Amino acid sequence: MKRIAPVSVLLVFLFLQAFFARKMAIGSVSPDFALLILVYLAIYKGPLFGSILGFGIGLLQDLFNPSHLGLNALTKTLTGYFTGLAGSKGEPDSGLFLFALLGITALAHDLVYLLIFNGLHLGKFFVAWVTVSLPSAVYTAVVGVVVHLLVTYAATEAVRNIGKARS
Amino acid sequence: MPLFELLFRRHRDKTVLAVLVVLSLTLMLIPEPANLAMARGLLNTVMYPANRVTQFFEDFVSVRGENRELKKQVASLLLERERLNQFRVERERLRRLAEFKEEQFLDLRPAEVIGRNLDRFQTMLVIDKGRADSIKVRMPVLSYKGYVGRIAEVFDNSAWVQLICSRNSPVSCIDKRSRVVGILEWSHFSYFEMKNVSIVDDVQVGDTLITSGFGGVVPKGYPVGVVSGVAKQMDGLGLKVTAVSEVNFRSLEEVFVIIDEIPWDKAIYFDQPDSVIIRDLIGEDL
Repeated sequence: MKRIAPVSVLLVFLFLQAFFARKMAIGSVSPDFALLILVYLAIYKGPLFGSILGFGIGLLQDLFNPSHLGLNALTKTLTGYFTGLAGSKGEPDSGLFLFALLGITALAHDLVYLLIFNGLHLGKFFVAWVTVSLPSAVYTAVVGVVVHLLVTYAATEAVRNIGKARS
Repeated sequence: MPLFELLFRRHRDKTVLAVLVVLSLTLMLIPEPANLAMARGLLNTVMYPANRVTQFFEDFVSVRGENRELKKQVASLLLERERLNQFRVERERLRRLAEFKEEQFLDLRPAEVIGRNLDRFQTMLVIDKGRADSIKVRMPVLSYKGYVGRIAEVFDNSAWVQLICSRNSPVSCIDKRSRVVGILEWSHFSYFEMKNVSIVDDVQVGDTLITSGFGGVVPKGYPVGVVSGVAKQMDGLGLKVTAVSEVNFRSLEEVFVIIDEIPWDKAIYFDQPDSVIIRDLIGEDL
């Protein structure tokens, strides 16, 4: 089961990113499901799992974009590691904490990504960071918190129903 | 052993992080090794059926409206074709008089976009035509609104298109009005910069930029953008020309791969009656 879980995560990510991210786009701003899943799992599983999962997801993205091979792997690895560290120091169940962490992580991720992607050209980096990364970070954080609240609500209801059935 | 103990017991997290970072940096530095090409082939094979299924349902929803729209377009194009045929006869006669090189038409292979690269800064498309359809690496790809990129990698039933909205895909272009030549490089979104333009060159806002055909890969004359801004560069020697592409790279659904150039009098439908064209295109008479 433990071995199947990471593969399932990667498949879910592939599905969400490939088919839903484009449908949910507002203009050119879309949620980053890769980052969402990575952050969500890293804060619960820790920096080691986060960095390995980040590398896996990043490499998968890179395989679709051979012109920047390794760039997503690098940024997602760093994201997974530092999110894992942050998760152990905060309150992962708090919606506010998750919102802030997702927003900050998305911005930090794009900061590194865009700087390398644009060959350290600060003008191009700044335009892309402000016009794409900033709204994307907010969108990703909002989607993350909504999913978190839904999952928490569903889990609470399931536990309550099981309790009722037993009593 | 103490080193092993230190690295893999006490600082396991940091060691793994360092290894993965070094691995990522190595991937960024090496020029696309063969094993990764194989991995990409595998990934493409895995994603191909999933993409096809999604595409089928999307097509199912949109096909009725699209069909109605296409019929209108066919009717309009038939009238246009009739007018162009008259021009052709006249033009052919003038060409022979002037002993111009025989004009070439393009053998276009229509392809559907079945996938995109998975990050938000999109530079690649996956199309549903591959080696089996005579697609080859470096073949140019067009959309209805102009040049969009070229084939980067080919698989049996699919191929990757490297879009021009990428730092790695500069295009040689010409100002359609003043014939000023420059290199078009992607900036952000649908915005581009035309490089190598001198201060004395005549480039104005609203000018259309077309492919130059230099280098022989990209055919000449396809629109790549419209000039949206012209300003003097800081050094006072050149112009900073910005252009915007009319192609929405995020919502491309159909593209055309240029397979070959064929003499224009051998192009499909050239001498066929309208009824045959209608039957082939929409499967019924108008």
